[in-house]
Amino acid sequence: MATDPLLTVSNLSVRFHTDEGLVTAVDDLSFALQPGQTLGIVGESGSGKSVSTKALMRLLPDYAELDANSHIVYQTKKGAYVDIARLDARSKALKQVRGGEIAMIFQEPSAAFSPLYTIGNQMIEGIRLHRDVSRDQARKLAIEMLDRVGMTNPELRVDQYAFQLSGGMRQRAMIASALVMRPAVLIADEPTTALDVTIQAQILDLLKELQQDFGMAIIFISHDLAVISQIADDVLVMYLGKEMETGPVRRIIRHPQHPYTQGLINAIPRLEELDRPLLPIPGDIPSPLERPTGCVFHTRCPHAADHPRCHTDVPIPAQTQPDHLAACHLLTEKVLEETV
Amino acid sequence: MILSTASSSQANAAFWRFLATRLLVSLLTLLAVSFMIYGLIELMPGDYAERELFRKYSGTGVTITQAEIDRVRADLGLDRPFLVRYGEWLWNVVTRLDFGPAFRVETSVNALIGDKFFYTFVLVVGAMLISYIVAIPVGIWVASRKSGIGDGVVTLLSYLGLALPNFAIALVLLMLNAFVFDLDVTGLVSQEFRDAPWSMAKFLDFLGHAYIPLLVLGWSTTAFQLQTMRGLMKDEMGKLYVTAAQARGFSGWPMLIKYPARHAVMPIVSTIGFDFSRSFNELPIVASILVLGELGQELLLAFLDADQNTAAGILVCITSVIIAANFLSDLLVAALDPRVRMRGGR
Repeated sequence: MATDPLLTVSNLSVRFHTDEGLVTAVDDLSFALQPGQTLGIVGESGSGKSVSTKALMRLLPDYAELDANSHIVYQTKKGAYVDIARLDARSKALKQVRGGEIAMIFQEPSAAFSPLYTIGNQMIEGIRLHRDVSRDQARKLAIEMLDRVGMTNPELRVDQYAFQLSGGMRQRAMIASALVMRPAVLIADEPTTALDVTIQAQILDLLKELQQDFGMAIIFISHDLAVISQIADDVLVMYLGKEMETGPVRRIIRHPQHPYTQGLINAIPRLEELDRPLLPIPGDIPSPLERPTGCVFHTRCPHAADHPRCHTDVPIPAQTQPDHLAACHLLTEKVLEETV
Repeated sequence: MILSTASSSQANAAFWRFLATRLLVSLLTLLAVSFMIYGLIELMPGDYAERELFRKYSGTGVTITQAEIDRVRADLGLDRPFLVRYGEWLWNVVTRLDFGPAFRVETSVNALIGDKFFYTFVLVVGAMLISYIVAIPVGIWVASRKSGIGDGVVTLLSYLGLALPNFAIALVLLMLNAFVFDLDVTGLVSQEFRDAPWSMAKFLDFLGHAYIPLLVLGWSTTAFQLQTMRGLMKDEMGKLYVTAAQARGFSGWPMLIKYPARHAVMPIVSTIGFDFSRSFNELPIVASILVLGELGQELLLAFLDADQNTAAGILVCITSVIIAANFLSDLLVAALDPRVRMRGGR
């Protein structure tokens, strides 16, 4: 790899303690994020994409447990390395990571802002936790950032409440509230899902533009491969908390290797192929309480019936290209055949 | 919809209009309450003059004559029409805060209920304050940590408070004090202070007696508020705006108080008025066990004796406190929630 990764996640596993028992939400996930890179994480709901990114900031709920072998090695803006998975929950270092190093924006900005405080109040709170500025200076920074994300009349908006803004404006305010803390990584958890398609495109353009200006890396979560393909450099496909396939987004869209990714791509409606019947992936995501043995996707995979290994052995992500990995027995068999 | 700040100041005007309306309705409520009790007693068979003579001569063999009844009526002014008497009473209340003469005891209503109103007020307000001061922080604390021993103890104490009837708690405390500590804790002040003017010593003596009714009244209210606060707090802590605040690096008690607690306390603040009236309703039972001279008992006696001035006076006092509590609750909710200010009331 050309540069040192900003973030190296290895063997990330998260389990939930529920009334029905221990549920695996993220299983042995590993990936790296380069400075300035945009990594898309795609998967159906329940695939663990949101949980794994919350784990990066240690924002998991009380009933969640981070596996002891998980490592989240992060290089801070000052160049020091910290393993976020090992930080004390009350440590200053973790508070600095949250917001100051890694910031997050959410699917529903209306719920992510408290209706009891103005947008400015919540932005200033974040600024003053991470930057040594006075209240007045923080307010100026907030107004500047609101202006920067394209909000009209920022001097007025700063004193408004989230419920006084439109959906698109709210998401812009959310982005401003994250970026004003100058993070090196922005985690965007389905930030466009709740928006109209036209607004969605505006927000994606804005994020790309801001990324250029601020030079931050983005982890962009979506269930929608089409959205991911517009913004991400690389994509990580997740299913039931496991990595299915990782690689450059263009290659994965054109040459998906994993049967699950192939299914996802076939399920995208295309304007130019209106006559083509949609091909949904058969079946439903299994309940996390009944995790399939072997490959977690085998219950819905069109090829699993012919391959007994899929039912018993967990496939390990293997390279199909230098920067393209897929976790599928079919591919490892093919690679083996080719190398023999 | 995008509102401008200009419209939000208009919205604040809407809230003041709401408060003004509330105030007007409150005054009308007081008027209606006094008129209703005055009228209700008027509708009862017989009046105070008959009751007084009956009490005076019952068992003496004296025959009460109509002339005598008429004389007492004239003395007390009871021979005038109902509306005149009510009007005069109301006029004196409004202009001079004078509730008129109490028939049953030969003194004014003000003198009769003054101290008792003070005791009742202190007991009810004290019990409510204790319950808020305990329930809100403990509720936040219990909700913010994983279940453990502290949680268990709090839950046990609050279920006891909820399950035990107030009179039972009062009896147990009374027994404990009488037999174990050998203290006389009935009444609200010791014998020597009963008719003494207010002094520091009398006040301290009052506090020494008041803690039992405060404990009895406060326990169940605290238990109820605590369970409410904990439940609401748990709900709020799962909300996205809390995750978002944590994602900004905000944590600990300052975060809990700024975000989830402010949201969670809203339903408690908005029921202050309701809780006051509940406390007023619970007080007479506790009061009769602890032999406290308080308003509830006095109200019942006044009603039985057809003492219109006293009954209406007491009811107006109690209702005023409940209305004031409701008003306070409206103001607090508006202070806590900008949406209420903008909408112009709940």
